Amino acid sequence: MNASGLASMPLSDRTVDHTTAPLVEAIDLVKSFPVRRGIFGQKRFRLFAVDRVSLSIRSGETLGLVGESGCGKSTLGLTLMLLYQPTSGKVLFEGRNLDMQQPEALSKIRREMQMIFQDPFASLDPRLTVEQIIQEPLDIHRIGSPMDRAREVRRLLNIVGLSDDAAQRFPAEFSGGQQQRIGIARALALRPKLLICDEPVSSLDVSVQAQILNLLRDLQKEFGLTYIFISHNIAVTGFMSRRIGVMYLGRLMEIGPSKTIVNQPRHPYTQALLSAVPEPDPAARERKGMLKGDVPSPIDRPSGCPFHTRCPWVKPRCSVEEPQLRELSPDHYAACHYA
Amino acid sequence: MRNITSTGKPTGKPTGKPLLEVNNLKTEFILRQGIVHAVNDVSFTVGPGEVLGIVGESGCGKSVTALSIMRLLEGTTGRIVGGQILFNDDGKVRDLVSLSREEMEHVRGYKMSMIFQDPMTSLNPVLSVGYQIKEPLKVHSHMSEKDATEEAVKLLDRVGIPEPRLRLNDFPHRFSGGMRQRAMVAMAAACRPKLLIADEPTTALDVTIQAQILDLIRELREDIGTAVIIITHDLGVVAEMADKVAVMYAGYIVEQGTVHEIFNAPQHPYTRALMSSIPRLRDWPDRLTTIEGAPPSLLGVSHGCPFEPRCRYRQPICAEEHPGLLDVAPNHPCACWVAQEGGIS
Repeated sequence: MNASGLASMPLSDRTVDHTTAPLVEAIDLVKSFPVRRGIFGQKRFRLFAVDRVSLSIRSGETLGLVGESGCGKSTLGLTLMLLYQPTSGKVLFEGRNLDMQQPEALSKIRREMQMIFQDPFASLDPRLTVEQIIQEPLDIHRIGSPMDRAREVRRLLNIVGLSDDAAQRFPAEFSGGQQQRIGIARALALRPKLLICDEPVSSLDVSVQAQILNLLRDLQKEFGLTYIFISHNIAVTGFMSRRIGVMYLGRLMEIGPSKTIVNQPRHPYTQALLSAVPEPDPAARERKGMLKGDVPSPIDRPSGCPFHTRCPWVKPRCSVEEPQLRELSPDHYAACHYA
Repeated sequence: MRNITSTGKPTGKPTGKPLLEVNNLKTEFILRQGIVHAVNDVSFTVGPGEVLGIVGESGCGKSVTALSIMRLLEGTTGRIVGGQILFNDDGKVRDLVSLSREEMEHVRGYKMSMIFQDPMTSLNPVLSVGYQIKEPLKVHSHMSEKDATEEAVKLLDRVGIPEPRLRLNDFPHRFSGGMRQRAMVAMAAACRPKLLIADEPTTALDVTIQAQILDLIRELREDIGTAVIIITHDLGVVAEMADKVAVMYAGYIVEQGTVHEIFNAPQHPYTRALMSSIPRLRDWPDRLTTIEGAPPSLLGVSHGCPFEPRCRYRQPICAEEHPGLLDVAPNHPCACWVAQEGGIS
C-alpha cells in the first residue's frame, strides 16, 4: 500500500462524518537527528526517531499512540505540530501542507494545534501568574482587547474546573492535578481544533488521573476537539481513544480501533506489550516477561523488521525484509509478514 | 463477626512466627513549618516467604514506612517516634528500633535489603557494578575477593545480564535502565536476605522491562524463600505480586487483607474509589469514577478520618473521631466507621 492510500483509508466509525477530510495527515513522515559518537565525535550517525510514518486523524476522534520509551511517539507528536522540522515526508493540516506555508499562514495554522505535556509544573513558567500564563497565547496572537482577554481567562479557568481566584496565584501554589488543569486552559485559549496530549496523566496519582481524563473527554465532547493521546499506559490510552497506533523504534507497527488492538492484536509486539501489563485482578496472575532483553538502540537498528531481535515468532525472512503496514480487517493495519 | 484487635493487623498464617512484625509504628519529620506525621500507628506482619504489597498514592507514607524499617531515616529530619519493628532472625526476635547503628549495619544489606525506584541514583556511579555487588558479600558473608567475584558472576548471570564476567567491570552508566535494576536485584539478593523491600521497583521502567523485573523478584522468592514487601502506587503490580495487601492513606493503613479480599471485596471507601478510578486494560466505562479533592496535608494533627473530606459515605462522626482498624471480615481490618457498621457493600 502506498502512503497516500493509507492517508485516505476509509474509517468505519459511526460518530465521524465520513465525508469530512482528515484533520491531520502524516505522509511518510521521517524525523532523524544527527548523533556523534566516539571520543572526538568523529563517528556520525543518524538516529531515526520517527521513520516513514503515515497516518490520518479524523476531525473529532482521538488517536492514541503507545509504545515504550524511545519509540518515537513524542517525537511524532512534536513533528506533527511542526515543532520539529520533518526530515522528509509531509504533514497536512486540513489538507494544507504545513511545509509549504508562509510564516504568517503557518502561525495561523499553529493556533489550531496545541499541546499539553507530561510534567505540568515544568511546562508552566513559575514566575508568571496563572492569568499571565493562560493569557499569553492571546497576547501573542493579539486576540481581543485586554478586557476581553481577562474575561476569557476567567472563562477558561471555569471550563477546566478552577475558580476565578486562581488567576492571581502562581503555579507552585497548585497541586499536580490543578497544574495540569492550568496547562489545559492555556492550550484551549486559542480555541484549537487539535490537542496533542503527551503523557498528560503520567505524573499524576491515580485518583487525580481519573479527574483529568474525564475532563479531557468532557472538553472533547463540548468543543469537538480532536486528540492525539500519547501514553505508555495502554489501559489509559484505550479508555481515551477510538483508535490506537503502536510504535516501536520509530515505526508504526500496528494501528486500528482500540477494541481490536486490545482484544485481537495481530502484531507480535502489540501482543507482547499487552501481555506485559499487570492487571488489577489477582485471578489473572501469570508470568508476564514474554519479551527478553531491552529495546535495541535506535542508532543501531536491526535490519528487516525492527522487532525481529525480540520477536518470539521470528523467521528468517524477518531479518531481511522489512514488513509494511497491511490492512488485515477494515481500519486495522499491522506491519508483520505473518500477522 | 467482629473481633477487636488492638493493633488491627491480620494475624497471618497460623503456622510459625512472623518474620517481621511492625507494631504501631509512628514516624515524623520535623520541618520549620511544623511536624509532618508521615506514618501513624502502622502495624502489619510479614511471614517467611510472604509477599506484602503496600499500596497508596504519593505522600501516603508507604516509602517512609519502608525507610523506617530499614532505619534509613537517620541523618534526615525524619525519626521513628513510637512503635516496634520486631525482626525474627532465626528465632531470635529483635526490635530494630532499639538497635544501635552498628548492630543495624549487620542486619541491613545482610538479613534484609532494599531495591529503590530509580536504579541510577541508587547505584554509585563511580564504582563498578561488580564492586558494588561484591561489597555486601565481603562485608557480611566474609568472602575473599576471589569467591566474591565468582559469586557476583553467578548473581549477574542469575538476573539475566549477558556476559556477566565482562559486565562486572562496567560502571552503572553503561547499563540500560532495566539492566541497572537487574544489577540492583542481584546486589539485594547477594547475601540471601530474609526480607527484601522493593520500593516502586518498576515505576521508572517500561512495561516489558517491568514484567521482567517482577518475574525476577518472584523467582528470587521461590529460590531463596525471601519475604518481600513491595511498595507501589500501581494496583496492577500489587495484584500481580502480593499475597496480602495494606492500603495506606495519609500516613495510616486504612485497610488490610489478602490480595483476593482487597481486590474482590474492598471495604474502605478509599480502596473502593481507587479501584474504580483506574481504567482497565479491556473494559472502558464512559466515565471514570473520581475521588474529588486531594489528599490532606500531613502537617499538624487531624482528629477525624483523614479521608472524610473526600468520602461519599461520610457521617458526622467521621470528622470528629479517627476510626481504628477493626476487622470487618476475618483477618480483614478496615479503618472506616461506616464499613465497620456494615454500611458499605
